[in-house]
Amino acid sequence: MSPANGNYEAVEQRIRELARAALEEGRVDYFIGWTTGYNESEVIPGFVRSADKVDDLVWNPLAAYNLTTFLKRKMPDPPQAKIGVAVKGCDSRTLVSLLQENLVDRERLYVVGVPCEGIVNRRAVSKVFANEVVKIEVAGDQINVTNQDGETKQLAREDYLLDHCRSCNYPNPRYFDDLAGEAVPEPEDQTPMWREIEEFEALPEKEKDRLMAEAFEKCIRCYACINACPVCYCWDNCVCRSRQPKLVGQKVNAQENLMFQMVHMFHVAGRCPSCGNCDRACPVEIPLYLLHRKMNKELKEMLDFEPGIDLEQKPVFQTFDVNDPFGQH
Amino acid sequence: MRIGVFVCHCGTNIAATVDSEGIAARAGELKGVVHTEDIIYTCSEPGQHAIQRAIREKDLDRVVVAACSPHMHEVTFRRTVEGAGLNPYLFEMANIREHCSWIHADKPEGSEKAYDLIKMAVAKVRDLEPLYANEVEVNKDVLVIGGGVAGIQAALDLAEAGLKVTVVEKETTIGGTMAQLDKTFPTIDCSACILTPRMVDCSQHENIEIMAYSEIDRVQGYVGNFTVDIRKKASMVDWDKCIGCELCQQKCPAKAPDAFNEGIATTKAIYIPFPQAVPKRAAIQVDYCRWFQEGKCRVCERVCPADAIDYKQQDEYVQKEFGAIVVATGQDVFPWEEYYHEYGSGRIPDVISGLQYERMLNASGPTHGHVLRPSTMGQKDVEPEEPQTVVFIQCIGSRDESVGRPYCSNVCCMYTAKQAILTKDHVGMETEVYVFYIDIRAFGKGYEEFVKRAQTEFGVKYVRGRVSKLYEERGKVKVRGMDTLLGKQVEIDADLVVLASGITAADGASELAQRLNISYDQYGFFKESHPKLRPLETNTAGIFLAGACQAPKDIPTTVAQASGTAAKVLGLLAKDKLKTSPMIARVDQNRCVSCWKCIEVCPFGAPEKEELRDGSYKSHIIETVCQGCGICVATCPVNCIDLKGFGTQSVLDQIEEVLLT
Repeated sequence: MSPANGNYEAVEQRIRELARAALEEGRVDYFIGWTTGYNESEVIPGFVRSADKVDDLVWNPLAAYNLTTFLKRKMPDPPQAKIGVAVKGCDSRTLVSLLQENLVDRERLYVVGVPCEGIVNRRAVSKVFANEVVKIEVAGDQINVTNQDGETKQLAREDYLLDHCRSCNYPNPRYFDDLAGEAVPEPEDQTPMWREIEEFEALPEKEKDRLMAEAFEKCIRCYACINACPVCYCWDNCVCRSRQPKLVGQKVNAQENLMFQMVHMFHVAGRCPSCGNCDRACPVEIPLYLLHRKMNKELKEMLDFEPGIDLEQKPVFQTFDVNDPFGQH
Repeated sequence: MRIGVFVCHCGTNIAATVDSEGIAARAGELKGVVHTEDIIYTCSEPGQHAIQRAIREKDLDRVVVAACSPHMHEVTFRRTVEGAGLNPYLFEMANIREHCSWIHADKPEGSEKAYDLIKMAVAKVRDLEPLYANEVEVNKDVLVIGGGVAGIQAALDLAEAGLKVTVVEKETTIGGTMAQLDKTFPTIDCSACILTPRMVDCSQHENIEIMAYSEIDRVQGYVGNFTVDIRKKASMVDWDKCIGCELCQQKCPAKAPDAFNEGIATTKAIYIPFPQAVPKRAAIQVDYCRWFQEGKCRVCERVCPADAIDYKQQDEYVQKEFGAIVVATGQDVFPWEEYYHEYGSGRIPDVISGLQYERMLNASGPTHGHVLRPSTMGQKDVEPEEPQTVVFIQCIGSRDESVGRPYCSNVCCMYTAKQAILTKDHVGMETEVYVFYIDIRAFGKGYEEFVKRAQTEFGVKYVRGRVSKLYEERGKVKVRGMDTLLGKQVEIDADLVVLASGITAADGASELAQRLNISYDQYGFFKESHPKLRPLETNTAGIFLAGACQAPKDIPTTVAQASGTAAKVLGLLAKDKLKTSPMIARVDQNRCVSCWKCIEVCPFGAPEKEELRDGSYKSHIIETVCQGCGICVATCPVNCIDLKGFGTQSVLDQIEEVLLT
């Protein structure tokens, strides 16, 4: 990922302008963007319902949240609401997946695309201090972190990007109505990079088992991952929570937890571009995003499919093509 | 719950490797089982009586029969339990024959597995609920797609039985391929003489409506209630006015390729394919018409005594309702030019296809039945020559994997023998006639004798072997091949080479199959439901097959199949209401997220969008349309569709039973 060229403010202004215009003209009932959280170290989803509130919206490299998650929940309720939403490159891919599957109504959606140059891994940054971080500021290639005592540390931005931003091939939104700011340059080499997956795949089986057990032992089945997931849409009828029929065990142990996560992985396969929302939502820091990356790698290699790239593409498991790489095996 | 378990011996079919008696006794320990019995032949009359007696005497409310495959006898035993007053869907079969005794050698092991299978069936039957068949009203009109001999025969049989039949034909006349033929094997009777009266019968029958120059646009609905959109193609001639006088064709100045004569002659831009066409109506081939291409002419309009020409005519769409559909769309001739480059790819004028030769032999064809060398035809100052040496090559686009046609086309051996005889008859006995063949397949009644006659009585020289190359040399076609019986190279200087082009699926067959939701094989032929036991039905209820659209067929087989299909349709439509299987999909609308994947994947059009009171739309299965195939169940991303009688829970119960107990 190239160093940020620092036009965050211009883009932020543009998002506000677009949101204001949409609200004033009544094109949307509310606009979902990003806003500052309980302190300046955090950016959280922000719902703006009137034009005078658009200045609450922010855009900076902490805006990790994939806001399309709220579409799957909000679109049917209230049924006729018109919604504006801001999407980064990866967010737009989940939106495209949802649109492909008729799960959001394009007619009632206003999408502001936000070209993205990489999001900071807030969890990693906030660990540089033992106590609470109150401010994270990105300036060029630097990240300035301030803790509650007013101490400041400087970090290299490059070292603290989210993993999937490092290997991102689609920094510009794949679908939008208006683009906030100029599109950023896309990597010339679009070959997907699976470094972290390949490293894992190369491990001995025993070691893989150990790492998996270690990771999933921690899971407390809080289901934050599936609540945060933009393309997981069974709502209250998730098979992992259903007791009739009882398809997945409810016990909390490494094996059952892994089973639950596997079900989730398979269920969102073909829709999930591994945006990382599950990963960031996990309170016990299980690297869930790797699971979905692995599935994406398989899809790419077996079926030459990348989720959410093109609105016209059919959901992968609803198509059959004898020319799939898989068919050649 | 009072479950009865009946374990079959099937003579020694099962009992040789499974201890039927022992496992029947053990099954008594399973939860809910109150009666067990082992029976030598459960499907026999005493066997079925034993089940019924036990249901009555032991007051059973669920029945498990451990015997053969449900494919074999599920229907039988459902009837049995129904006969004793039980709901037929409170019954389950454990397949301990195909899945067990036939594939195991060790009796204790086989018995153990059989017991596991019975355990699973008992677990499933515990979960079953009574199901009730639906009834649906039946429309008694029949659609026949294709007006060849198959369609004509089916239509006549159905119309005679009193049903209203609509025949949709894509060409301007019915008759199909048979109308193009000269004589038919093995009797050498005139094809037109036996076909055209049937065509006329069709057009005059009060119960038959012929929609020529029309195609199927869309098919909706289900058995007993199909809604079909038919596109009447614009012929540029008002067929209500046209009297078929052929005046327009005579006066038309624009030449056009003659598809009916397989391209060995030309016709006019406005044309009637042949004199006995039914309906005998003219149509304009717009691509060749001077008015449409150059903006001047209108000769046909001027000469037409009926004022029938209508240059502004547009395609017209008609919607009709039917109870059953007969698909009789026939076949095409294998396009050998695209594949056989060693035979000149169609560039050698004296190498023609079997059907082209057929047109040449035909007295009403372009040469009036004279066999001529195409290279000498249609030239100034050249008298057309009769060929002195004619070579036939068999299996062109049949039994040839290199051109993707490994199947036998069924008719070529016989039509080649016929054409060889007719060559001798038309040109003279002194003509040299060679047939290169792989095998002679003369399987029908009188066929073998017919080929023998060609060889002995008419002196046709049969050479077993394949021709490797055809090329022109000094006004002849050099035929270079191998006589595999003599093990020698053969070279023949031929005047005319006739390639016995095989049968290939009709153009557009797969598109039609998709519109009809019927299956087709890798060659484009429509698939029957079962090759032996349901050869006339498709897997879509209410849609039947006749003729070569299913597989290459000769005329006798086609006609026999068409009549058989008519009987099937009559059997179906004899009822006023149809019972539908209750083992169908069911949507839990609370969970439905309205993604409509079920609608997209359903081959029958069973799921529909249902508007709920809150204005939202949810998936709903039309019970009478659903065939219970389960594809929507597997597709539904939120798992909100279940198959009645095959619920997720009952599958889990079975797995649990076999793994955990």
